[in-house]
Amino acid sequence: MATMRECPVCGIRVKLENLEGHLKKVHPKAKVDAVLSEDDKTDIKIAKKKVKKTTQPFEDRERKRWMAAGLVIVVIVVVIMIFFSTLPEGSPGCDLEGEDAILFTIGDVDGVAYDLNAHIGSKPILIEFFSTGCSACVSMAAVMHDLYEYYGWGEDVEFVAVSSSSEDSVAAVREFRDYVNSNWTYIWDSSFGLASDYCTPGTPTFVLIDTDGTIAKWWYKTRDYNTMISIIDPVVQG
Amino acid sequence: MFEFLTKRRIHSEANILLFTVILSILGVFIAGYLVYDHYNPGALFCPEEGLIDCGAVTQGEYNNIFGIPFAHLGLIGMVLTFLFAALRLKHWSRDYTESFFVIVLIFSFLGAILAWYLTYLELFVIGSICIYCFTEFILITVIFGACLYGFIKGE
Repeated sequence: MATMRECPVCGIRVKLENLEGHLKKVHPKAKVDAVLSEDDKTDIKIAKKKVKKTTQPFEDRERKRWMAAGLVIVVIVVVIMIFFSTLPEGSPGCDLEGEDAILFTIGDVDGVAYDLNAHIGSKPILIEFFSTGCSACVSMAAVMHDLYEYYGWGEDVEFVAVSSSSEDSVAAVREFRDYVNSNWTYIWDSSFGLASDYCTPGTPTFVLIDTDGTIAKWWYKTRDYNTMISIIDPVVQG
Repeated sequence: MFEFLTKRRIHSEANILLFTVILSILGVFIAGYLVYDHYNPGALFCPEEGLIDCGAVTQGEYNNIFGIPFAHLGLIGMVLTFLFAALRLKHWSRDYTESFFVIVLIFSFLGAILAWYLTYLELFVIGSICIYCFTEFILITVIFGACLYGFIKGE
């Protein structure tokens, strides 16, 4: 709180650092040196110095410490983020790329038998392992739609979605298909074995089978549209 | 009551605001990246090792509060924190910026609450951590801590 002092001429209370200015302006005839004692003048000098200090935002002594602290935190955070973001993706525990596709024949949610072997040959097959309770799978639906359109509505790449979740059912998978508005093959694997055959650590997991029946690509978790194309295109183009 | 807040002399105010500006710049970039991932699922560089699974957090059902994505709230909060802190430093002698430190304190407090809530969800509900969300949590908590320190130590 600012120090107030009574003006020795008019008695009005004025801030100490403004007292000299007040005397000169309001009481020009009053001799400042005669009105103010040496102690008053010293107090005014000290008050002015305090006022001057608050107009300078930085106190040099601490500024470097705070800046250093901020920069150190930023550097530590960036290093940690780079470290964690460059860790390898979780490995499947089995290296499937290059291996023959594991064949299966399972009825889709419309009751039509889907024989993988019968579909191999004309075009690559993209199998998405998902579950209806997987929100990442829901968020991937838009990407899958765009990919389906990009690949000629199934002309260039065949899309198959498989749920091996014990928490799903034919009805649940059908409902999911309708909810995400997909029109490719949806399967519920009631044996729950297909996902483990394909070493899926979770959902969504993608398996891209080439026209010769080998697993060309295997990857886990969501990818954006352009990354998906960069993975699938080389296989499509042979 | 508001005079108590706005007229309070903050301890080492400018230094704390400078510290806040440095951290909030990084926070804005990370939050922006998270918002980008919100519209482009899978865009984050993020390993799936142990507890870390960014997708489970950013694309899951708990990625929002009252329908507003955490990523968007984080970006808005960090941008506003940066703006008010920077404006206060730039226009130090202007009267209208006197209350900006308190505004920064309030924003960082609200941001810290949201960040703590999201971290709780990650650890005890979702069971996975998003490293970018956790980084934002660290940044906003440190910013709030610094502002609170300056406010309490002030007079």
